Amino acid sequence: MTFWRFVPLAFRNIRRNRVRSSITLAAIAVGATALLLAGGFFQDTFLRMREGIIHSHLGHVQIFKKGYSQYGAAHPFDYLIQNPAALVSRIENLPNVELVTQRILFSALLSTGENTVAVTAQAIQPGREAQLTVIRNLRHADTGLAILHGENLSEESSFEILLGQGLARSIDAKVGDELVILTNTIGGSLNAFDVTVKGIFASPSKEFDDHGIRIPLETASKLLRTDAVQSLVVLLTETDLTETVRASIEQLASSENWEVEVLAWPELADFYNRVVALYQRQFAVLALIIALIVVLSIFNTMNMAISERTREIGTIMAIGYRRRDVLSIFLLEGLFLGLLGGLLGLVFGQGLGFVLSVSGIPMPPPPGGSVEWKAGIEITRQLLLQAFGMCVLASTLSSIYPAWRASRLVIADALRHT
Amino acid sequence: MPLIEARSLSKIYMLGKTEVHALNAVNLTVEKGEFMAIAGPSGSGKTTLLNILGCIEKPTEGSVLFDGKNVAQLSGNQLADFRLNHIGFIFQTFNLIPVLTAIENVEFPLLKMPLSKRERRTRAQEALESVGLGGLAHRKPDELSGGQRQRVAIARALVGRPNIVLADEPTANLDHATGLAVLELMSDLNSRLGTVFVFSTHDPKVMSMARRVISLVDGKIVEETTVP
Repeated sequence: MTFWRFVPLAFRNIRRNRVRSSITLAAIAVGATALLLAGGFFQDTFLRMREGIIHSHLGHVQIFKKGYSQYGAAHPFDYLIQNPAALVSRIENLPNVELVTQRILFSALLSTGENTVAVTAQAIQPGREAQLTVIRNLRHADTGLAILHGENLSEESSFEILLGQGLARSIDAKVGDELVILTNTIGGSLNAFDVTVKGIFASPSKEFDDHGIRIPLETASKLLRTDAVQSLVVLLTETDLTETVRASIEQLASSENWEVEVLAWPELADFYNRVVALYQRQFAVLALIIALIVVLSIFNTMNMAISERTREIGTIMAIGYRRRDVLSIFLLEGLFLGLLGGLLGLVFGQGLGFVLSVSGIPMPPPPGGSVEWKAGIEITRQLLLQAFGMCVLASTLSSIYPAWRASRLVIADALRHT
Repeated sequence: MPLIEARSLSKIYMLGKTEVHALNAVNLTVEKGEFMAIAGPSGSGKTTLLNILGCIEKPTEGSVLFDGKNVAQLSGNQLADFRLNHIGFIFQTFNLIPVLTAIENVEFPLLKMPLSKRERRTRAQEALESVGLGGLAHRKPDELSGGQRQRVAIARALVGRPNIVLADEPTANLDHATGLAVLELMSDLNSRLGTVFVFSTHDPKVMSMARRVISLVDGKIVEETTVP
């Protein structure tokens, strides 16, 4: 096919005006780099946010008594899982499940003697929960729940609690302070314990940090007078396996006739979902602007090339080349500019992304969060394909009109062109 | 049958709102094997006549029969194929592709033909050798002298083995001696290969090398001289 015979010519024509081609290639490469860095930054933010909420609150999968997600908010103690240990051991035997931890979430009053505030208490199994908070394989982040002062709860902790940093500030409580926690038992009577502040934490959720405490499940069971739990939180070996494991838990639950509902983290992470949707829209707008810059840059280059090569185009057509051939020659040039510029951009983008990831970009607390963090650049294969595809597509599309114009030249006029 | 038979060719251009009669009822016959010059001052219609004979421009009136076939009936693509296979072009300004080497320039028309890479290269090399530039095959046009460039252009015009080569003022950008050498080469190729050469010129010495001279003035043939 004649088309491919033009390939060397197209390459040499790109090299013909080196300064102009270099500027064009640089524009495309900068476009691709910008897209990779912006996209990689968003991806990194998503990843950190996702791992942060998974390793602080949500785990990968949560199991509740059937009906909890619909009615549990109003009547939390009506939807408790009795004899949770039996379920835990069966679920932990499933492949890719790292651990299962039990929780109860309840409202309580917390008093320093001078101040009394309403709090959201999260009853947890300290040992397992400590494992859940560990984030692996993420640069500049190792835990979903940072202990700012004091220590984390341990298996030996009893009548000890952790306070969210906003809450500690608002009631002016410090590590070692003695507080009173007061709540209704599941039977409806009042019960209160003296507890000691063991540590102060910061999670990705400012709302929880302003109103939340963590209390050992054993203590909470005594306080609430129940051995049942509200949820089983499942941690997996990898986030990407969430749907697979959720399906196997559902299968297990139905074969064992457990009356439970199984929710995966994306269904519980409403805020995360909204942030992702918003950022993705922003990214699309950004990509469009970058594509437009690439289009204009190539359009200009091709138009200049055609003006300069008018007589050459006339000659090519005079000696027997068809108009379609001229179109092909210039489209190939546009395509190669896109391919070369795109490749350059991928190399620059990945290099720069790596440097930025290693050094870390200092960031203020994210929306809804309270901890400063370091962002990186997470360049996924999909992002690489998107950036490269944008370069190739934008440069080819922007060559269509100039190439068409070249192919429509009147031969005799083009030959007379000086 | 003559190779080309042009019948009452007229060409009218619009220059702004003014009509310019570039050719006016020109009748011309080109026989096989001819070596012919079209003479005339600037603006006499030489280039227009060559363009029409070369099927890159259409006459406003009249027709061109190529081997008895009316080329007016051919579509744009068919005309391109026709030029590729039957007509070679040589231009005043050589019009080589600057990014290609001499041999690649010569090979360029062959890219459109169903030939293997080896055949293309062999034919291009032979064509270059026939114009005496076998040793400069890998030079770019800007590394060649004006005379050498025009020889490359002649090789490019001949490589497709056309019936006719049309040369528009092929010596105008060359010094006198080089111009005559180029003409001698064309004349020699005409004798050896039998390819028809029609070239335009206003240089009397160049004209004198032609075996037939058509003189154009204001788009009309005013004189025809044949060297016996």
